[in-house]
Amino acid sequence: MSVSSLVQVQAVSKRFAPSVSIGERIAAWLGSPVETHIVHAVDGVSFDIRKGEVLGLVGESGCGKSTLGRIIAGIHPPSEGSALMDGKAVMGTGRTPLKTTTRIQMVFQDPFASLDPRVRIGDTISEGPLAHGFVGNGDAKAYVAKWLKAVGLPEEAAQRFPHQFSGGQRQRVAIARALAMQPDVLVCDEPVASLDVSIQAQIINLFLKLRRELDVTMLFISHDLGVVRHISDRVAIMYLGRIVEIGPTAAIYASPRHPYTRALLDSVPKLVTGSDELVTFKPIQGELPSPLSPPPGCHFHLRCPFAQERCKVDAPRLDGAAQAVSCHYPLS
Amino acid sequence: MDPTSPFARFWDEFRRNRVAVAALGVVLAIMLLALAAPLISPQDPYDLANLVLMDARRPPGHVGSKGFTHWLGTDAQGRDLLSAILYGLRISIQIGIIAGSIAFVLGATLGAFAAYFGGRIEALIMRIIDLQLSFPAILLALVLAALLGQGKWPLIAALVTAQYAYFARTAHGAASTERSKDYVDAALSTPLAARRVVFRHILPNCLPPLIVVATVQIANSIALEATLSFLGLGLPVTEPSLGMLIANGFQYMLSGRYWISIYPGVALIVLIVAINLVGDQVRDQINPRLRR
Amino acid sequence: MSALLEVSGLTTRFDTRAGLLKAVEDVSFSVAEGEIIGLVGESGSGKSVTGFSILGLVDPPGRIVSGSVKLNGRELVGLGHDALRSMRGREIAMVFQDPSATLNPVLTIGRQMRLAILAHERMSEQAASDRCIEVLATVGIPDAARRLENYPHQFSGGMRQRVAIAIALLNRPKLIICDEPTTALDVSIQAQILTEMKSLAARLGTAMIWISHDLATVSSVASRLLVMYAGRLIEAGPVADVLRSPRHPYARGLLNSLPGLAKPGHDLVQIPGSMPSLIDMPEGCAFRPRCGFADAACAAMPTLSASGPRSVRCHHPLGQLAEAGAPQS
Repeated sequence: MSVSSLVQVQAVSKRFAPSVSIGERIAAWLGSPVETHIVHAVDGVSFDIRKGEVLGLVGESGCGKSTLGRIIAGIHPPSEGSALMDGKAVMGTGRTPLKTTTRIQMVFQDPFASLDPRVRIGDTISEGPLAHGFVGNGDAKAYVAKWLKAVGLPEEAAQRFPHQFSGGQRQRVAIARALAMQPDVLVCDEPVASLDVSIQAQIINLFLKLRRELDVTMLFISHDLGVVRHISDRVAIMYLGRIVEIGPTAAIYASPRHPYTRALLDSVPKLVTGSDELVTFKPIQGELPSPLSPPPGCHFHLRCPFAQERCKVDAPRLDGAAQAVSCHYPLS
Repeated sequence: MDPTSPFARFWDEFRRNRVAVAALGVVLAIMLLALAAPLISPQDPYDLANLVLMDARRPPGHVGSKGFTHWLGTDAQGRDLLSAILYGLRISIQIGIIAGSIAFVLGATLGAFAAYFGGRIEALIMRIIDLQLSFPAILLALVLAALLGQGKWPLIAALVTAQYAYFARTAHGAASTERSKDYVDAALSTPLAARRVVFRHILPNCLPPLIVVATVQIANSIALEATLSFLGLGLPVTEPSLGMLIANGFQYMLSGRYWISIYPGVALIVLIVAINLVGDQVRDQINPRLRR
Repeated sequence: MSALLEVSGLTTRFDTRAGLLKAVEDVSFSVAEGEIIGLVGESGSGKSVTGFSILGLVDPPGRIVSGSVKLNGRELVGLGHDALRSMRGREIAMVFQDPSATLNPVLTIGRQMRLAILAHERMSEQAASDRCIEVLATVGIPDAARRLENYPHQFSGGMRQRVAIAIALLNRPKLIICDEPTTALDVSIQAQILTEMKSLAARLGTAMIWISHDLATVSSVASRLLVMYAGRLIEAGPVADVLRSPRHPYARGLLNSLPGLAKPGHDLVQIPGSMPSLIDMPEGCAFRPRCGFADAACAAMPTLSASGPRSVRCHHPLGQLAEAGAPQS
């Protein structure tokens, strides 16, 4: 595997501020204090995605992994920093910035929502390639058939509508739509989370096959540590808008260096196959703090059993070569 | 027909409401009659040469000098009322549908683009529309009809201006919901042009609520057109629409010649009530939460 | 060990526009006092409808066609609305995946909890409040007395689920049916709740039916496992035994589908195809079209046959040590 980086995420932040109504503006102008509800979804995140790898992005709900995925896929512009594809920004600038590349495509979590219910499957798949001139009108049908075949669907599926398919089949369609744009990078946002276990296995196998055959690079976003372990070469752990640890999958699962990573891995229920085996969790204390007012210093210090005074004021930086960790007192 | 097609399912549910089915029958029958007016009406009410002043203001059932029976009587110019009503319906429905359609396209496009772009564009478009919605439609239409003068197109322009805002509001609401769905994000990540995302993906998914508004608004624009004509701001006297027929007969109401106003009025009411009944059922089916 | 709940031949169907939907077919099992059983299956397997049927919560167009549900020997199927209502909450309680299904957004949780107590028992408001505080503390809600005055939206997702569990515990029921109670929660919160539920059940002697699609979660709380497929029970037995050597090809396939057990980066052993429509089921064994071991015999519906503590509904059950490949004949 080559180590040249294909996607560069550089100090990306994303803040969501609800629009201020005219009434609130007048109130503010008259001197009344206005409460700001700014959500820091992503907070100064930097990392690279290497050519040919599958990078897993793991975190609990509200940690900002989905928002980060959408920034890299060119759906949302970042508030600060930028996501680059081979050194060129994924999105343009301006008031309503547009995506400037077709080389990154996305697969979404819910295949019931990510396909337009009124458009036939074939048109859904061919729309992008036609608009960008990857295929002519005359060849569109064969092109669609080729990609349907690649994801394991029959050619006749092109004529049908999304509601005529099961969840697993729809996810195959969504994957075909992304692949038909011939991307170098696929951003997959929880692509198997809404599927049943047996269907989930089929889609994971499909991803493994596509990766072998098409050499596509992937950012695989998931909350499911088992799935990420199975499919990723490297994994990044996200907590409250920041990457807390990133490195080779096997190394991180074997010896996590960040206390949060360790706690997360300990929280996963394991299959009990021995009758005398006792199941003991070491649950993380407390809950995820609100991203409206993240704690100062290290975001994890409120729940961390190893937190010191320094963690409450000084935010650690992501540091280290192969297995980088953002912690003042990493586990060894 | 494919029993699972959305239309078949829609009709299957629709036909269970007998009132709505009857109303739909009435609407279709009136439209058919209006369309066929030149073929079935005994007289061409717009051809002044046909009008015999001697036959003016005759009661229903009177046999006129041309030898045919005026089943609904005649008006002050000696027009056969049945013919005048059929032709009047023709104009009213025509104007209602044309004005409604233009308002639909204009309003839906504005609303959907406002929702798609958001920010200041959205704020600007929607504030103008809110401002306009705070005035009664009749007032706007009156001012415009007075400014633009008489005739079919000025009238349509007035009606469109008075009505597009309702479509824009509805389209904006529906499009804002659709905008946040993943299939729009999928189109953005492809990426597809804004125009394409709005017209090909967002607007078709906003159709159900817009169709509900459309049925109500076509009935409203027919009523509005009648009101304007009644006030003398509609079409020229030589091409009487229903509103003008009512206005013409108004002065004879108290002298016992009720039919000149009443029959066109009944035709107008039946049409509007029927359209509204159909619209209610469509709305109930498309958005069950609004069911009363 | 006496049976607390005895379900036999339970069959629940729904009359839909497209046809008769056979959600639950001939399901029989029992729950002993204090026992936690896991009911697993994929969506459409009938696991949730089974839970609803036990509580008499199946609404038209659904109906319990046949079978019986006995709680402490008392028949629940066919019981009137009021009798079911007074039984629910007091004898059997339910916890749902989405706690907002249980919580009323416009009442403080204290008020909701007091109402839940006073519906079944006469006591003073003060005594009821004390009970609420005690139960909230039991499920791990800090500062319970103050939290009573809060509304559901003031709680986080995990805390809301704890409140829902507290409400289920209020009247000290003998049995709690938990329908995917931790599915919507993050792993760290799920781990907290799983640990607490398990120790609660042990301490209070409450029996539970834990419904989930997640084998790992179920295996960490339950002692006995029931696996459902297309409306029927296809395998049952002690958790560790079933997971170590599943007898039904579907149960094995489900285990093989889990990425945690396979070698990273390698293809998972997948089950081909998808579950048949519950309206249009194949003749005989419902798993037949997806099963590698199916033959002519499978055209007839196999019975759920027991051997020792385990039972399986299959003509060709897998053997104790059978590797995927050879069917046991």
